[in-house]
Amino acid sequence: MKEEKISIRYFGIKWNSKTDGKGIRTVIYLQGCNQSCPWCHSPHSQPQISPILLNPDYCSRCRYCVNVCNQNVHFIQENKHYTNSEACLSCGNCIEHCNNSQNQNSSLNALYLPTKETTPYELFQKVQPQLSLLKDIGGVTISGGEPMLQHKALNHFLSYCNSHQIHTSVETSGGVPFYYFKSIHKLVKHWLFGIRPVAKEYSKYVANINTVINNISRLSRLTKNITVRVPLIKNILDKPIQIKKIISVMHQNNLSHIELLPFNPYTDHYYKAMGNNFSLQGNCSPDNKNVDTITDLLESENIKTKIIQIK
Amino acid sequence: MEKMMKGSTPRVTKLLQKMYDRSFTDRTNEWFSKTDLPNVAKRSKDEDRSLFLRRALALKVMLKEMTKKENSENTHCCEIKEGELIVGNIPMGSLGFGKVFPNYLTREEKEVAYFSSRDVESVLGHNAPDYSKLLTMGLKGIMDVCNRELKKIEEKEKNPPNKLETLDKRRRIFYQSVIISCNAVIDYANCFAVLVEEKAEHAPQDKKDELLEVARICRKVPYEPAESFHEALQSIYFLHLTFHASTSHVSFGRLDQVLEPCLNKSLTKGEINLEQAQELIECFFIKCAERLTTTMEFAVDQDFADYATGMGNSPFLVDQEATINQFMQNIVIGGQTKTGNDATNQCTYLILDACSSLGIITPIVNLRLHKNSPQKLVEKAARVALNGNNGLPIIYNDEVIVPALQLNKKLPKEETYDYIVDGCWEVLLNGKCDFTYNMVNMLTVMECALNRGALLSASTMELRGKKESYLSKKPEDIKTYKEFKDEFWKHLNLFVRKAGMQVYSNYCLEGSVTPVPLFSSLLGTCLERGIDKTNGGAEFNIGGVVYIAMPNAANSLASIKKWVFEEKKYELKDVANALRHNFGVDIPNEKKNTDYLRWNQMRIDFLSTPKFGNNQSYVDEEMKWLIDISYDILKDAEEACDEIYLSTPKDENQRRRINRLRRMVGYSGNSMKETYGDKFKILFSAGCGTFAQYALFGSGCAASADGRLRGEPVAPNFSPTSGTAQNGEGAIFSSLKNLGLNKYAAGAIIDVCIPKDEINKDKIQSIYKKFIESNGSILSLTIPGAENIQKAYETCNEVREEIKEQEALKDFADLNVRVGGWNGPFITLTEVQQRDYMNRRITKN
Repeated sequence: MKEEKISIRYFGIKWNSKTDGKGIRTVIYLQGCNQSCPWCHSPHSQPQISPILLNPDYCSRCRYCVNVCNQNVHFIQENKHYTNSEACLSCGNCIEHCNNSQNQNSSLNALYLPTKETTPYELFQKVQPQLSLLKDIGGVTISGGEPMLQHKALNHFLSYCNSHQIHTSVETSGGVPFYYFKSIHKLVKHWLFGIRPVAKEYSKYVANINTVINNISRLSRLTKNITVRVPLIKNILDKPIQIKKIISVMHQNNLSHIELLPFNPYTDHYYKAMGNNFSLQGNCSPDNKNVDTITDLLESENIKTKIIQIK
Repeated sequence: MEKMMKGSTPRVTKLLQKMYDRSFTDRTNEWFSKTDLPNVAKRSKDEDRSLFLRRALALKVMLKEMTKKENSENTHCCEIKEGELIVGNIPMGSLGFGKVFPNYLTREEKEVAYFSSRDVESVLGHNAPDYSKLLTMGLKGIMDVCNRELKKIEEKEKNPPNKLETLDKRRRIFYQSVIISCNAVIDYANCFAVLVEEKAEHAPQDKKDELLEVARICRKVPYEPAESFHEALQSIYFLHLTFHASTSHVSFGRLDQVLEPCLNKSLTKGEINLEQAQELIECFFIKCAERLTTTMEFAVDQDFADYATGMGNSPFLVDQEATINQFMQNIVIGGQTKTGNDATNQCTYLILDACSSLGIITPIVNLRLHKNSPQKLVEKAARVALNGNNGLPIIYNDEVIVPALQLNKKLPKEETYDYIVDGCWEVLLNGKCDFTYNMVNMLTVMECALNRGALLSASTMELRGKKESYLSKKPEDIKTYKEFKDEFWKHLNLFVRKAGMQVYSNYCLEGSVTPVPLFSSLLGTCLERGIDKTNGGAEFNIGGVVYIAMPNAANSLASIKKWVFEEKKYELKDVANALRHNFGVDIPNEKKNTDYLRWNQMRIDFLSTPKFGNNQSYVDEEMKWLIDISYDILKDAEEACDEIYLSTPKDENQRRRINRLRRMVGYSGNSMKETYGDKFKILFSAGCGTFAQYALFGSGCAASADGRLRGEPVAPNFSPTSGTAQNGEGAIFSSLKNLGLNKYAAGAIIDVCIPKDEINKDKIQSIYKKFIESNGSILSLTIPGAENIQKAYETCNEVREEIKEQEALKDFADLNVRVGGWNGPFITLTEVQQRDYMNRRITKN
């Protein structure tokens, strides 16, 4: 397909990250996901287009949004602004009429639609100056959402990066047909590959573990530049038996690097912004002791382990 | 909070701790009181003395007062601290707090000087002496020149019929003033020699030798040339403290070049090793920084800034909170030699190490880089930037600044390679030029273009607003974008010409109240010619015109281009009205009408228009246009000023015409070349910046078409308006690439702030290289811990609301950020500046 006919959807760019691959990286978060992990840090990334996000700190309760929205997404009760994100069509009409949502820095806006749609070329043009700054000391990481769902657009984007000698990483949860991987693997220098052998009652939210293992096995025959990434969620994904399963997958495929991501206690931020409740109850951060045990277990199996605490 | 042990040796650590402890206390009593200082122009016989001699005598009196032990109980000026290797003390004073100096003006002079906002303290400073001259000649050598020339003048006088010319009379007074000043400094140094010797008497043996060595040095320099590294530092410090005590707040110039010969000598002879050299230079830095104030609790009590004590040309702009730690002491290092070779030397690294080892904000270390700077230097600078926590070094791009200076054909090539910076960041020639400056606010120009030469104030007293410029076209009669730009050009032209003439009149005034004979003796040809720098003594004179709020103006142009002339959604008249009424945001809810809805929508559209610093050519080309025209207009203004102030009419008709013009600008003399010498001319150089006053300048401006509301700060310096850079630092630099900053010889400084968790040493190196490649001019990079800044901000707010005691801020006393023309402790900034600073971070898009 011709490039100009392909679009790429993303919901955020982090210009400088030290935790998403080698060196300092610009991370592009692609919109859309085929999983619905309850511990997901970016629930607004899951649908094709994010619903409206609300930051009530910047709302002056002028009611313009209430008046212009045909879907009745906005309502104000007792001087508090609420949204019904399920009804939101992401038309942006409320934002256009909101005086407090025009800041170029979206984190200072009351209302915000994060999903942007553009062509791979335009996206590359946008990040190119920063990538040229990071050229010899890092590169670009494509994350999500599940970026592999947009593998066709990604193919184009990564080609531009390759022709500019920019180091490329892709972070995936692995639950997509293998030919997606095959179509772009030559353009990806380094993979961040999620494996989540979660407790049974949670398995319906994540990709089929066998598909994931199958994919990582086949991918590792094409490249060894794969780092396994595992979120550590208390009582969901923190048991020795689960870790052992990951270890065996890694050994089978000669993979030696893993990154552990303990649950981020600020995860509820975007749930609030969407007007939803965060469904996991209590503190989901694994105990430090448990993290140490897991680390020891991995290290004893000759797996290089890094713990990434996201703030 | 993470506190690091600072200083390369325990001695330095102790001295630094003492300095910080004092910086957080009430220092009001440390100030000299003007009423207690002797008045040099009190007796009628004093009044007969020339102004120059009185100024020199006042300097002598000041240094004398600083060595009186009875004064020192309060001022701490005549004391030696435990472990000091460099001695002497600078009395309290800073740009924000003001300065104190003995009066030397007669009552009559004082009253008149006040009309032009001049007083004995209103020395502009903003320059740096030629310290290599001091080190090679010593004050002895300088006085030898004076005596030789005085003798020649005397002989001329003895030989009638040659009546002594006015010029020689003036030269005689100049030399006499220099001699008085030099002797005063030598006396001061000897006083300290005695003080150190006294201390040595009671000291244990191991300390004794060290003290006696310091005493020996004080007896030798600054009188004699300096030989060792220690002597060089002490000699420079004596002169530096003298300048700062006599209200000349001046910088150090290219200190690495100045010190290198002495360092080499000392190392070769084996007098010291590199570690000792490091300790010495750190002691020197601390001596310069001792006036630091890190609490605002007693700031008002310490406000000693009189009406006319600022800098003469703009007294009202400087006595603000954010300038209390601006001492105007810049050090320039690195760069190129006069022949264009890399100038990095051992001392360059020594100074960089001191900068990160101490982590203090003053003296400010400015590093010149060019495309052939050694990789080792770039790497070291990046390390210093990461570890110093003081936002230093500031980076200067030789590849842009040198060509900008070379655009001026009057400047010899070798001098352009040898540039330095003044007290803030404006570019000057090393030890050869005098400097004065003026500023033009681009948003004021924009208001005039939209409102027929008047400001867009919504005052009910004025018909249209305060008139500042020509009565120009009505907005409804401006039909195309080009026509609008033409209007803008006309108004800018007026403001720049005015600023240019102001530069000349400032120059004329400077010498009338505040000649600086001692400083002049270390500047260019002043000593040899016997003429003060305020009277045309220096070889070159630079007049900087600094443009304010250029990013706001470029963004405003983009908005108007897009929404008025391309989309045709709004009429220009409508825009002017919306800005006049602050986009209607002040209209109470019940009165919100259709106007309000339209203005509100207009602001929304304006805010969403591309903004400078995001690599978007739609707006960057407007910035390029502003740079082009502001440079061209300034060159025209320079020619106009040359004709008015400098031309020598060839015939009677011309004479009459020029005289008419001169009277019209309030100047009625002959060509200034007759007064100041044949070579006299002020070379204009353009720059862009706001210093710390981005909030102050913004507070006086109406809303602007970039979506900024009335009174909000303008863009700090040449940086993208706070919060509008959204495409990474890389995009800011890409925006600079084709602007043509190599026309701005005074420099254009970008302040970038990147949180610590987004950066490492490699990235800083990459930023420096990219900045050089992108044709940037000057760069400041501050790397705060994001959480720490947030905590400091919240604590400041709690202290402002009196929920917490001042003491709570002490933990943040060494948290340093970019202020504008310098760096300062975050906790001493105003709330609006703190917010503006935090908002500069480039966030997730």
